[in-house]
Amino acid sequence: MTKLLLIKLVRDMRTTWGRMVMMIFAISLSLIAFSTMLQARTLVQSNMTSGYLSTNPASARITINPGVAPEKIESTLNLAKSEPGIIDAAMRSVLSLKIQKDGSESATLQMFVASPDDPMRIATFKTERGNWPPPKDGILLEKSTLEAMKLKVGESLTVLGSNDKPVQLKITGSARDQSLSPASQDTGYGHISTNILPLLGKEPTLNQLAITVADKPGQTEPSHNRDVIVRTALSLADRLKQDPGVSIEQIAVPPPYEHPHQQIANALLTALLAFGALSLLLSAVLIATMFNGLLTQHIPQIGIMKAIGARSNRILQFYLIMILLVSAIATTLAFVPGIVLGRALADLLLKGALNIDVTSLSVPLWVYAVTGIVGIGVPLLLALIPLVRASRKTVREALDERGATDRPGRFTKRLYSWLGKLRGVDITLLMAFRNIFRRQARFLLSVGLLATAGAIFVGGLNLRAGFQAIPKTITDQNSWDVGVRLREPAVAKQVTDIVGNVPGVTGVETWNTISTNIQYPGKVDVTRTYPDQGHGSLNLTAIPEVTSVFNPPKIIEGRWLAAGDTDAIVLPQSIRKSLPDMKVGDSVQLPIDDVLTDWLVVGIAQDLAGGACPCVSQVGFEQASGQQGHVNLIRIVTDRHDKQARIAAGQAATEALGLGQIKAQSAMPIDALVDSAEGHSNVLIILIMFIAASIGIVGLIGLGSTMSTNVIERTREFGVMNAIGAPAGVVRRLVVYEGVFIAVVSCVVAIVPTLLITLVMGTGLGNLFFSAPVPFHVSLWAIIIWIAVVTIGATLATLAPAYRAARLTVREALAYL
Amino acid sequence: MVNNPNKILAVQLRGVVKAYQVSAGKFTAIHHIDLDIVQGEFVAIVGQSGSGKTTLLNLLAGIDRPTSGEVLVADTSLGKLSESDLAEWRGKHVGLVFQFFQLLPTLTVVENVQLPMDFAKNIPTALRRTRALALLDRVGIKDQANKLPAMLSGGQQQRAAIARALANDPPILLCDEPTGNLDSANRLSVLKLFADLNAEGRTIVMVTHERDASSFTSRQVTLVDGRVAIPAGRS
Repeated sequence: MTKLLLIKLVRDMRTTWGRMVMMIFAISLSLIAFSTMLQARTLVQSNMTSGYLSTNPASARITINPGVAPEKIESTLNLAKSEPGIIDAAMRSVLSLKIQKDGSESATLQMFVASPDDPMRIATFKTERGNWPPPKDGILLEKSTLEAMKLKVGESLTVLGSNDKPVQLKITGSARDQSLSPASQDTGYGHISTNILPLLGKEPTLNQLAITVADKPGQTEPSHNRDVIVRTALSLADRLKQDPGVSIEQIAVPPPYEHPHQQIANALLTALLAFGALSLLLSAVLIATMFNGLLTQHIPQIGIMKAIGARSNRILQFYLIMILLVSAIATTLAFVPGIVLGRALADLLLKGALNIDVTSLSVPLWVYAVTGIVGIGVPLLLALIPLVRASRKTVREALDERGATDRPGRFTKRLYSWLGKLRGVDITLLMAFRNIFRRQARFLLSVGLLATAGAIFVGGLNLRAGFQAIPKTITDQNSWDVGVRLREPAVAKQVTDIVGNVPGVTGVETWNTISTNIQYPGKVDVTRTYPDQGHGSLNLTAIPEVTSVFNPPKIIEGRWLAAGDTDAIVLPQSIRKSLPDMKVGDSVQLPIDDVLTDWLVVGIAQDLAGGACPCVSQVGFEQASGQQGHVNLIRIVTDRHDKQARIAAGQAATEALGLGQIKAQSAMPIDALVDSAEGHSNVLIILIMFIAASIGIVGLIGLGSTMSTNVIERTREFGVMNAIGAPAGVVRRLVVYEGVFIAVVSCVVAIVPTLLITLVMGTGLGNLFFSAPVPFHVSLWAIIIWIAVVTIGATLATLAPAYRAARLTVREALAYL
Repeated sequence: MVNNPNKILAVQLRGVVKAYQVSAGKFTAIHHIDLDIVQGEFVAIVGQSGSGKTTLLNLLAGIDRPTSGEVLVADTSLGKLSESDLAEWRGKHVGLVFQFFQLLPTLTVVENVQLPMDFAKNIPTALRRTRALALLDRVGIKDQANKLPAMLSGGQQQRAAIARALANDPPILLCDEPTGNLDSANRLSVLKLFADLNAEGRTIVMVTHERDASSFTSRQVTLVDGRVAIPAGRS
């Protein structure tokens, strides 16, 4: 490019600085959203993998019954290590302890137990304070547990040992275990040695054989292949079973090299990255539209340049450099905010949601390269279409460019003809309506841009409304106010009498619930469960035949429980995460009080937050457990339905039960379920809002640009109107009407894509988080906001150029170049 | 038209037809025109509105392509050139002057004159500005060289446009109503300028409505409904 053309380029850009700034802003904003997600995704992946692998997680854990006594541990380990393909082995156990605070149970601690002489090579952790093994009355608490439960090293806590005997333990140190999800106020983690088990009234045995498995014997790198691990673990299990009296309860083989939350984090960030990419695509379309407008304004100049000797490729080169400059500036501006926000988001997710230390904030070079290429390349690619078209215009076409010379198509002709027959309609209104169809390409681009922005914006907010509606599904399904869990089953009638007399209680129902796992009959249960037992464990609920506090969940396959069902079970949809082939008609086994019971799957239920399933009938449960008329769960209805009243009623019921020698394990208001569901989706909602807002802003810029281009293109036409006596007000009104028409048409066009986006994203994210689609919700507010924004935006965006057009003299307008 | 075998032809039109498809059907703007313009002539193309004057000039400039027939300008048959080749050819062989000046608004007057030299690359880079200033001096607006076109009067802008048309020293100037947007004083001075340029040997073809242009031109070609009208007394 010659110096002179460079001067022209700079001056042209300066002349249209408003448009240039809007283009730069639009690309920057979208690129920030995209780059934030890309950076965050990469950082989360790398830190998650390195953090998880730093614990050298076990490839598989084989649960043995009975547990292995200390004197037999070495021989068991030797047996395991002699199995071909096994790299290393360790005996461990997981223990659940209730913390007692102020006389009542406040939280659960999941304690990972190992021998004091365990070399801690497998499923290890980092001791941040204190030493391993802790003293005989000491425990090491996981770092996030100390934070969540507001505990400190050196403090003591009381836990309930065997027979609910309170035992005081000292927190002698803190451990960092990155294979665990973050602790909450209700559930925490810790590490203890078998030395402490006698104090807790338990046998010092260990029942989990943790192994690391290689692809081939002799190799030292753990296998990435789950099938290899399962095969090796099953082979070892067979050998262990040869010992008389030993049975295998479960083999847990989590996905190798994957943090428990790896898949969900990847899928979430990929979904958000897709939203970011959509936003970028939208701004690229916007750039194409704006650039098309700029070129339309420049077409007479292109004609002149060609008339005085410029070849098409010269013109192409000139405008390519212009768009390259715009996107390069935008990309440069987006680079640092993208990195900063990406790191902040990764930090938030890693520390807050995944319990992973951020050890490295560096991302591979390809991340920067992709950001750069996408930021510069995508707008360039899309702008190329109008650019090539403009540069190929002949001198004649370019010089004749008057803004609206397209020959009307058949549809447009019919529309014009129909409009021509209308009587009594404001002629300016008719003219405005005709005008929007004159430049069909521009019209389609403008409508497409606004409709895309609207669809993503409203779709995003619909999704948010769907997530927000999830807690409501809990209250729709459950009309009880407080759930009281009993420590031991009690006689139903006694419980009903006691709780029914508690002040504020208006209704009582007695249920049963137990923690269990589901397996196919006759098979060793090979699960994907992680050591924290958080995945794959299930709470079975026995539903009374007559209940007024529970509405059955939505059944997606089969049916709900019917009167007279005694061996029927309804499973949650999420069961397919661990048992993918599970279907109606299958037989399954559940251990109830250590006895395997047989059940027939009659239905699969939708499983959003707080789902009650797997469910069986109360009658069936009583038959299976052999406990007639005994219950361990009380559903209470209170006279007031606020959280405080529910908590008070729960406490009063617990106290009343205590007076009747019935020990309550916990009293939980329904609000706790709702709060938990809301907490899970809050981060997602915030991220969706961030992207929806950025898309909304890009859409608005597009609107402003489209409308001003629309006016600029027709400056000559307004001059002619002025010349034949049209007052400035008519010109202004005409332009504003056109803007509003385009906005309205875009809203209509956006309806179907909005519904599709809501459906597809709701299904995808819902399946990811809840194994069921997010409830389909259309946010009326989102629709109102978007319609208001586009119509008011269209009016405002057209007013400025309309005023400018109306102020032009006839001569200026006709000589417009 | 009569050919003079002793003169070199700057323009030759052979059986040129130009037809357009309009909503009412096919419209023929130029009907089988044969026209020769000798090098050094100053030809005015006159006629009523819609007679095909501008279309004829556009055909000579390669802005329009004939529906049939051949257009030869400056020894080049324009029908064989692509759009880009036509642009290059125009830059080197013809200078165009428009009714509405068509100066590029973001370039100063001198830069507007330099631009065709940048495109054609006939003149060494170092000499381009000096030449542009000389041309502006030639048309009498050197003092306006560093202003943007919008700051100039209509007459000054047209002079700048003429200087731009002369940038690559083309042998032919094609002017479309160059005085149509000027007051009478400017109109005369622009016509005098063209006469001077013609006197230097440059071929000028000018579409005009001006009755008094005939005193400056060497020949007048009158178009009537897309055909060259034969002057009275000639057959």
